[in-house]
Amino acid sequence: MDKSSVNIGDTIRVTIKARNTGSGTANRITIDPGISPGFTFKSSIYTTYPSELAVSTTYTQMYIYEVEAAKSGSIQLSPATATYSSSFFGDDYTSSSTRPTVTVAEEQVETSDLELTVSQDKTKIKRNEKITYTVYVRNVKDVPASTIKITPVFSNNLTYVSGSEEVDIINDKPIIQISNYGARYEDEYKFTFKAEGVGASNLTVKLTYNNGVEDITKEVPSVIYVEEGKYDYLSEYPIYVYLTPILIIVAIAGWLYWRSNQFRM
Amino acid sequence: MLNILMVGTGQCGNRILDSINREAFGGGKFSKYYSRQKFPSRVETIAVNTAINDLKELRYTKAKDRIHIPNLHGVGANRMVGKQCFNDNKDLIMRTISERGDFDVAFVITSSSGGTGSSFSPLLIKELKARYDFPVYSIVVLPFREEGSIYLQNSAFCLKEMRDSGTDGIILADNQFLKDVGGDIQSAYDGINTMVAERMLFLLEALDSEMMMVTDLGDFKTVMSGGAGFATIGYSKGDGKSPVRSVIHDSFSPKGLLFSSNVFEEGSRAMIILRGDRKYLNIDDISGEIDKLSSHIGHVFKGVIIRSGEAPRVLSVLTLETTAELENLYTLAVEAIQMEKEKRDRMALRKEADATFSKIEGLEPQY
Repeated sequence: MDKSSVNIGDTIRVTIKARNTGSGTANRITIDPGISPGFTFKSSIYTTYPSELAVSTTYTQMYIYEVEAAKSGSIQLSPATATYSSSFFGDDYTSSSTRPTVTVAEEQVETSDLELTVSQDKTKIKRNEKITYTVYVRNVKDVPASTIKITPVFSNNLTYVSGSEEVDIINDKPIIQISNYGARYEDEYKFTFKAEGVGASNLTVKLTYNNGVEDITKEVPSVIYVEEGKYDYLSEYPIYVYLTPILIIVAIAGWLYWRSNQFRM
Repeated sequence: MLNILMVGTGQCGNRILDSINREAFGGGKFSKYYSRQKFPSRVETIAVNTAINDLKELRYTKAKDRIHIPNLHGVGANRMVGKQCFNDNKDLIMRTISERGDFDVAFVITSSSGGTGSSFSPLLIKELKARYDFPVYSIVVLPFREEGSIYLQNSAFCLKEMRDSGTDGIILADNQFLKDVGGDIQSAYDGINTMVAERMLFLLEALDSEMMMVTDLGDFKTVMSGGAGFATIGYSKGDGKSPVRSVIHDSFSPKGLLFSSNVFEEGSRAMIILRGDRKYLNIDDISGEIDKLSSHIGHVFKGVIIRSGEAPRVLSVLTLETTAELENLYTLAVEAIQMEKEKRDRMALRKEADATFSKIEGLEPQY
């Protein structure tokens, strides 16, 4: 065979060769090429094989034909069969060829492919500040995708605040659900979060869709570190640190009021 | 510790009393909020006025120390109205004073020219002298001479009534003499009030100091009993560089006195109090200058208050036998009274003219 791996629809050329390994000439030789299931016979290329074959150490080309792969899989060809008669005894004999295996790949199905990109408006964030993620989705194929879901999965120190109009809130979590994404269609969506706690904040945008054959999931993770807020240091001190000056101010104000009244007529 | 009563009557008296209270707090604008008054003695201050607005404008005198005598809004510089008003309300005033306890000495501060102060003060002193046996001194502020004929005649009568009231002495301060203190009229008034307040606080300290070589209330009484019943106060502050004798001299020179007087010629008795660091108070300088003064006027009491690190200050209290300036004031006052009388006579003639016109009342012209 000229190929051992083909795709469905590809043509394979099969060449049948024979060698007489006996002690006398083989007469009245006929060849049955033995077309294998899974292949469709296309044409015979060479059929003028000799009717006699003397004892030899080399192979003689006997038959060439072409078939088309019609089924995927690893297919072992049916053996070619040679029928001949002995020059000494005149009896009829048969001999089968080897059975080479051909791997036929499955047929390529055109599917959609959604490209997912995530960007953010800040590289640093402080507690109580907001950060907006922009999710960009593009169908790079000519096949539409269906059942698209865009879900931001975020850690506890982030709180969803607002987003694009496509965003729905289901079970207190934001999600975008789109039934169909046309060929070469692209769009972007925004999710705004408020940083509630200090530390590393993980946000993974998860995109799921059906590409026409199967469900595909893509994820883009990102991490941002939330620093202490501008006035966070205030909460580090005990309450008396704040109460003491307030009490002093109130006492001074009270004293000034009382004193002013002493001098007011 | 002495018990001292200070009563300020009328707008001028009220303002000087307020200045004394301010200086006692320390002099700062907001000192009343964070400071206590630093009177050396127990001092009770009372402001009396018929004009509520004058009392309201006081800033350092407590509301409980202000007595409003209801008479619309003042007596309009009319001493007759003022006297009647005092007589109608003297029980209220005297009851308020008696509620403040016993006193060793009293000062009544007033202007001689206004309505309330000049009319209330002689009557108030008379009442105090009738009810109590402590000495009562008056501090009288004379007007700018150009302030008008009513103020001049008020001053003349007020001073006379003051002397007749039984006061133990009249300390004179003269706006006319002191008018160069400030630029505008308000600054001048404020400056004069502060000058009087500083001197009064110094005087109180001199009367109630426990240090050696000091004067006391008895000395002050003796000084004030000399002369013609009039006195004035001088003050000077040295810079520590000039000798103390020049500071003493400045205190009874025209730039240190509250009233224009040639003390070497007009003085009767004097009390000189020096205060400051020991290093500035050279005893020879002090004795020399005081001996010079006493050789002219007679006896001079002297007191020394030692204050570490303080530049020398001198307070002089001088009683006067005669005062040329007071003579001038009375000459002007007589002219003012004459002028007012002539105006009144002219008004009387005008009323006669009105009587002439009344002859045709009820008649109609006949044609």
